[in-house]
Amino acid sequence: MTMHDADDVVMRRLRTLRVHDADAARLDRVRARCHAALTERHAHAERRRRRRQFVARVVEPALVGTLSAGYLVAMVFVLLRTYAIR
Amino acid sequence: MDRDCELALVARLRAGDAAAFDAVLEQFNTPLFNFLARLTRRRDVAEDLLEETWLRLVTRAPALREDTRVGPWLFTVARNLYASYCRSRLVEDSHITTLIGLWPCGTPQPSPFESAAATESEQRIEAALAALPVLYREALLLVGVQGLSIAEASEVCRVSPDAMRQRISRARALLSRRLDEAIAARLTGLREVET
Repeated sequence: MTMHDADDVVMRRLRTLRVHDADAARLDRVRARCHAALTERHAHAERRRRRRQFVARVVEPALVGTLSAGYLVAMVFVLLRTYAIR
Repeated sequence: MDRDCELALVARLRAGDAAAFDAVLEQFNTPLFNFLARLTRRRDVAEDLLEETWLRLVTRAPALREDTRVGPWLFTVARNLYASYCRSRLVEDSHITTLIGLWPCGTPQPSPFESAAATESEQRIEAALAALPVLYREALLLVGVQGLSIAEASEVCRVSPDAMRQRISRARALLSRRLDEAIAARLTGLREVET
């Protein structure tokens, strides 16, 4: 038997080593913990998405509207003042 | 798992799909546990590190690259966690030795698999594997036991494929020598009993 053959035998024996299972009860706990973390992550992402949506749909238009209205009012005042001076 | 399925699974994992997580858990829990238990030689530590590995997957999933290979990624996390565990143990041990001065150094204990191995041959190989230096042991566990390719194992251990090939070759030779020694010792024992 050559050295290489001996090595192959070793590798074959390693591949046939017995496979052991982790504790099933603990696995269930881990799964539940990870699912809870995933749910929490999902909920957090959802909250963030809704906040962004609210900002995009309500806050931004309100801000732009307010600024535009302010600008318009200022323009009217300027016009009135200009005409009043005349 | 073929590459397309794996890519789809990664995409679902990134989106936080619990079913995708379950699929990965089903496929990799046992290989990861076997890897960690043979690496740490302690079932309780292996289970703690395994749990931490899964939690890392959950927290890091959104940051996974689209082309991530799930298996090597998980083995890398498990191996890094084991390295952190060893570092923390080293710090703890050094603190304790400075405190009491006579703390015993970490002597290699039989791995849980060694005790549970059914046949004598299996016991011998588990014992020889457990006694290997950790760099050689992890290389053999990844390639020989878990069936990762050299490229994947080198990615896990953060070495070049050539370095990994060399490590495997040395580890195989060392394991083979230890097994031969164990068999020779057993034969000598039998001969003594016969005479």
